[in-house]
Amino acid sequence: MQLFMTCVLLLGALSPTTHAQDSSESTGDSAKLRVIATIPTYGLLAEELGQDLVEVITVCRPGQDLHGVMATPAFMARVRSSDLLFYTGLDAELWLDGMLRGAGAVNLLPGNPNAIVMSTGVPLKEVPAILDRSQGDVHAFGNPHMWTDPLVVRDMATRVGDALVRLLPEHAEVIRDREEAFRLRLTKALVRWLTDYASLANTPLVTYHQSWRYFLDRFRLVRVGTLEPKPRVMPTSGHLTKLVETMQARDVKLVIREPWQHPQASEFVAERVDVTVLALSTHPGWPEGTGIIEHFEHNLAEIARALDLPVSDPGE
Amino acid sequence: MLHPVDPGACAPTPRRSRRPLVSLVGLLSLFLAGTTRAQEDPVEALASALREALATIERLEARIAALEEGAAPTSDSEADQLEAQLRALIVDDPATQPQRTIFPSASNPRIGVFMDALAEAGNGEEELGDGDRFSLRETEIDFRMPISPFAEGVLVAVHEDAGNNEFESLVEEGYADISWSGLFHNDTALRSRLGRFRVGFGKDNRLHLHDLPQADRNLATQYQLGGEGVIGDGIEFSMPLAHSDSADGLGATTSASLAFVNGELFTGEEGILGERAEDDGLEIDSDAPLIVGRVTHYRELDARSDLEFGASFITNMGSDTITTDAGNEITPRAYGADITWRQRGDETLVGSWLLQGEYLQTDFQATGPANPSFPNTDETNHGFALTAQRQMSMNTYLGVRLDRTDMLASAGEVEGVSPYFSWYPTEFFRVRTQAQYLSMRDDATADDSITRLLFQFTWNFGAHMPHPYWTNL
Repeated sequence: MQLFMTCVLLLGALSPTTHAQDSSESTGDSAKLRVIATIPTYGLLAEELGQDLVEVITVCRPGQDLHGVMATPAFMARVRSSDLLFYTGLDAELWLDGMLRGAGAVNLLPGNPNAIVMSTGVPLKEVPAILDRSQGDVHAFGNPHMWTDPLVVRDMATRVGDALVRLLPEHAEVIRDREEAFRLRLTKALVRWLTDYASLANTPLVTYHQSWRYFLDRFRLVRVGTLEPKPRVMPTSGHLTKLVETMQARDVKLVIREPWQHPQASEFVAERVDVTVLALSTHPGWPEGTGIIEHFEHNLAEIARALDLPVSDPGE
Repeated sequence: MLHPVDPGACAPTPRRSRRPLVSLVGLLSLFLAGTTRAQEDPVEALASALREALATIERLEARIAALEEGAAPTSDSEADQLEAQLRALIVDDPATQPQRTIFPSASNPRIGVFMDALAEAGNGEEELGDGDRFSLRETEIDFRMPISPFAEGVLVAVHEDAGNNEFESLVEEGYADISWSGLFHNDTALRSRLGRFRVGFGKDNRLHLHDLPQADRNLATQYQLGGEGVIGDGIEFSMPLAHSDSADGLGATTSASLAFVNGELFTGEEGILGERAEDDGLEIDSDAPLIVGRVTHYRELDARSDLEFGASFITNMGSDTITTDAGNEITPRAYGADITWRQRGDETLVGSWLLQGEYLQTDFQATGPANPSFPNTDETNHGFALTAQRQMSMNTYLGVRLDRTDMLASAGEVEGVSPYFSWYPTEFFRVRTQAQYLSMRDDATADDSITRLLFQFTWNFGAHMPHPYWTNL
């Protein structure tokens, strides 16, 4: 009993002290629109368009697997008093429902007007014909990693702009100006990438997971296989051995894995095939500090370098 | 097409052309002039008026065009040019598919089925009173669905092995999870669970069997609360008490829960007192409500680690107590404290650590006639469990749990060491091996050593269910 009381007193003593300390450092600003973004792309779009009008909290780290996010008590508390949510939908964020319910944020549950589904209207790829786990951890509604396509991101900017304008109508003009400016910058960059990296077309490569599909199609790269035998099933030596044969037959020179995917499988194939293994994230912010356009720039440049192709100059 | 760009959507909006109208009117006027040449002036006058109108329209069109040209920002033309270039560069992609508009589970709950099979080798069957060597230990069916804009309904039905090829079914949990902010359209973070639920006591106790980091519950929970932990019927309120983010973005959250439940937490068939009463052929009952409270403080230490403290209690309300048909009156109380520390390894999570400690204490104040199960004394039992777990690869975990606990209604105690290894071939299938060395002293003299090996196979199908946040980072 004494031990229990000691714990309670310790806990009670700790909480007010630490909160008093932290509350003075709190970054919260009640005048700002509080925005929750499940992934860095949506968070950066909200910051780009909202700037000083919004306070954005992004749940998934740039180097983190979106599907593996865990809803901690701190995130639940942050979510609770938020005004707007941007999420992918399509079961990409299976942890979201628990986090929102745990936070009591029923105003942001899917179906509410301030819970913005970013995949709405985007033509999907890899919609499964068979829906069971014999196909691995398939996404029932199709591949949700559409933020890897810059053209889709451009439309997402409009979706973010629409939501911000609806909640901040008095700032509609400035938000629309920022949206237009961002779209123009991204369009310029996309035209340059599609022109300068046209030689990437039909280049065969291997990825770890299916997360790059929209990006690959945009730049006409061809995925000849994945290190995973099925979505989110760990690579096996048998599968990798067969994949090595395919890679040799198709003259594959490039393997892409994401930072949260263990290098062991890519090292296995790299020991058997003359390939370059790139660790690239599908999320901006990896490498640290990259914005959305810089992130695409980085990934494309890395791929071009790995294939001994010229790198596009953003300054041109 | 990869992403269908409507050719007209972003192209400059064409001005509505009046050329066809102009031409038509012109032809009409010429026709009228030709066919009515011999006729009177009114027709010619009409044709003339039409020609003037046409001229006016053309002048106005030119004016509108000039105004539109002047009003259009230069960036528009740049954007238009870029858009035209972009559309020329985009290659059609037949691989896109329409979004699903039919949801097979419409109006039905999300269903997750968890199955847990256990194989056991070693001694100790008599002491532990376990079931068969091989058993489908538990099948849990989890149904969830929103029942209103502010509440979700949850049903967790369990079919479990009772040994000797017999099974029993029970409702482990069945409750409505209500958000008060949605119910009353206010800003409160208060939530309630109404129905039957795992009460917010302790750490291990709050988890379902398939969520445990080991193949069995820690010994303190088993020997002080019962093999299934404590599950109650009633209402629970929970809410965050405080939250703050430091300038570094590190959060600290304190939350609390308080439940009012029926008094059978310890007296059911699986309850620690209920089992004892059944062994002695006694009827045991309690209608006295109990209060269960828990306070949790969670803190992000840095970008890669966090810490959680928890303290919880169970106590009786009023003077009513648990009674047996032999005349025993028992007043139960329980206290718990726990701490969890996690540290993330690299981005693949390999090398991540989980350290966890839990302390439990139960007090049973008994009056009435003394009997083996309920001696006429106040009894206090202590127990603790310490767990260390390391993620060895993306899908393997290695850990060890140390246990020590008093045994109820005796001077006995149990100590244990349980190293374990968990392997997840997929997210939906887990294989776990756990060795267990137990030292049991039922009284001051007897000393039994038990060594056993557990093989646990857990699989699930249906909807994903959230894992406890501390099992991964």
